[in-house]
Amino acid sequence: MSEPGGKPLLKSHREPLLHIGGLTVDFDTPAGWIRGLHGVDLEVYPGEILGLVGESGSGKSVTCMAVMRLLGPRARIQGDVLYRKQPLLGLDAKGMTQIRGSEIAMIFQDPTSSLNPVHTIGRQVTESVVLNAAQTTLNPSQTIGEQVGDAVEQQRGLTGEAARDETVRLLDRVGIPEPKERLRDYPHQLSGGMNQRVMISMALAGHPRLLIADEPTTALDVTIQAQILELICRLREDMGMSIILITHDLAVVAETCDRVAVMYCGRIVEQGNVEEMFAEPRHPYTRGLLESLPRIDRQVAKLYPIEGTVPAPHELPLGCAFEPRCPYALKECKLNQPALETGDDERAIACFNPQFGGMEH
Amino acid sequence: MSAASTGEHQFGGPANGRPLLEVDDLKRYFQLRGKGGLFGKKVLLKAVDGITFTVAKGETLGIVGESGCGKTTAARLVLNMVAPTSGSVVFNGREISGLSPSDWRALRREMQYVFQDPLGALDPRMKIVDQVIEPLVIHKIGTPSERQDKVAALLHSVGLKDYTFGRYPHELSGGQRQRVVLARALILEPQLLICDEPVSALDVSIQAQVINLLDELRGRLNLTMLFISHDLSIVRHICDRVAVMYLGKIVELADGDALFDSPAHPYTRALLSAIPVPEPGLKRERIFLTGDPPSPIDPPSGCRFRTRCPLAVPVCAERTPELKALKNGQLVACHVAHGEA
Repeated sequence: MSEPGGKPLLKSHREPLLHIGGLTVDFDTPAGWIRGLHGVDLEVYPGEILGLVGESGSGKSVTCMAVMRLLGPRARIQGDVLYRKQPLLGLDAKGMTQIRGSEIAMIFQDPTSSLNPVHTIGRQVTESVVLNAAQTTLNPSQTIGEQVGDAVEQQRGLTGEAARDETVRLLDRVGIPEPKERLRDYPHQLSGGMNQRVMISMALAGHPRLLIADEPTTALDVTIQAQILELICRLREDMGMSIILITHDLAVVAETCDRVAVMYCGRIVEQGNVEEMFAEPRHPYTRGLLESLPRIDRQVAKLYPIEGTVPAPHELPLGCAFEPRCPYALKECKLNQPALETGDDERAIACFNPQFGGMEH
Repeated sequence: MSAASTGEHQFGGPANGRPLLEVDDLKRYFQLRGKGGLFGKKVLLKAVDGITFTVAKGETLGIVGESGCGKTTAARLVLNMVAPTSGSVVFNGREISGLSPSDWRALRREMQYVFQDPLGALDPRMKIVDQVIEPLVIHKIGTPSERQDKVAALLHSVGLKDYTFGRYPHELSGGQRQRVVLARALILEPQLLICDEPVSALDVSIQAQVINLLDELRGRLNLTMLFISHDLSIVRHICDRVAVMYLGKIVELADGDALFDSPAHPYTRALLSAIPVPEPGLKRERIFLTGDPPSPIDPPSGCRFRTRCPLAVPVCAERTPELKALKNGQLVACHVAHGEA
């Protein structure tokens, strides 16, 4: 693990917008303290879309919730989170409220329902806490106009006519047709895709520099997913925002992100440029993920799944968490934890036996 | 890639060369109240509105479409879990609606299903081995020791280890639970397996394990499958033929490779183009559909896709296109594709 405040992992000539170093999170559970994050190092640069991928429970949501300080009193967060060089973990509640929304905004999976098919432990722990601090879902009993209007008022201090105009402008910006007519609609009158657009418009209200999108399209149909991802990419172009896109879908990463970080059991195992990483994944877990995907554009003869299952957070092995499932494991992997190390090509890997070259299958 | 494409079983079902499953002009309407609560006008939701398809023995037919297109209702109709408004489902040469309860019970053994949520499908208070044995007990098959042997062999063949047999569902992972559900569906050696989003709740690496298992079991047991999913990449991987549904109707039905490589219906094309591919920089033409699918309560006249269709012409509003074959055999319901516009 690189020490906090160490050299940026990538694009070292640029100043990162967000720097996360050695981030750990422990949860106070009835069974005792359980570590959810084991030292995460991550940078987000201005104007880029960073994909944060991993399976359920890998810690991708927890990482972002920790940055936003939305994990509540039962989580202990340690490490460094620097936003434009300003440490966030030491900020008081008021300071953090100023960051949320106007500097960093977050949108979530399903804007209308509490049904989470891809829920994580961290998410379940935090859901109720979050509701008080930031809005994860739309309020079913308030109109779209009231909800977006409130966000505009809170973030921009606008009222009356000016707030209403800004609300309409925001709804228009996220592609809601006839935004004026929609102001009096309730969330149930809009489709899932339209509600997600409303959530995005609320996130944009404070002109954030960083948008964290946590599985924003997982609950949507593919044709609607394509529309929302296109919107997110366009917002990046238009507003110069940085975006962290949390997803379990590697295909979405391939099509939308500039860089990608792969998480497994509370750690980043590989990080790099999207093109290079998909062409030559080096961590056995990344390779395994890519080999287990069927494709729409051609017939794949056989899928090569990763054997076994993800260990529970309280049953992690002593060494590398992926070792029990890894086809390339060495003796050393059982005993020691590999650190995330960045090579000359700006690829970071946490593995004692990284693989090189394209994949066999 | 499957048993069906090897030929001899394709039309060689036990019922004199008939397909194992024949669905003809099947409809299911639900009556709802419109705006105004209890006093609202009654309206009809046409969940499935006249679908026709067959599944040959040993074949896997995929049904795809977005939420609300009627694919799950179609599966429930085939399983006789909901009664059709009209139309017929013929299984193994026998019409399933109107069967006597005892005839239905006998037939039902031959059709099993696997749904999305394995935890909801399992009894939380019953050990794994008992859940899988139960169907044998209900159907009075074998002696207790024969049942034990059969269940153990099957659980092993779906990749479960001995230590899981005595556990309860909550003690297993999602992937293991779906294996249990599969074992329970297969213990009666059904002819038809209906899978509705069988891997949607599972993580990527586990999805691939279960898909490979389904693929292997299908080959080994010569299973016929109806495979319902919104994930078209998985459907491409596992299905021989694919039906695409939109607002209660089949808009295209073709062999898998034909459908995925040369989709003929504008909806199929848009749907396929919207699916991301795990290869950065790969330039694929993307057709963005504007808006959302219309409500099935008040679908557009004529072709239901016309309101979002980039190729729509006036005739599309006037007449409903029929599902019929193009020269290459692909079945398509589109005036433009058939040159009728």
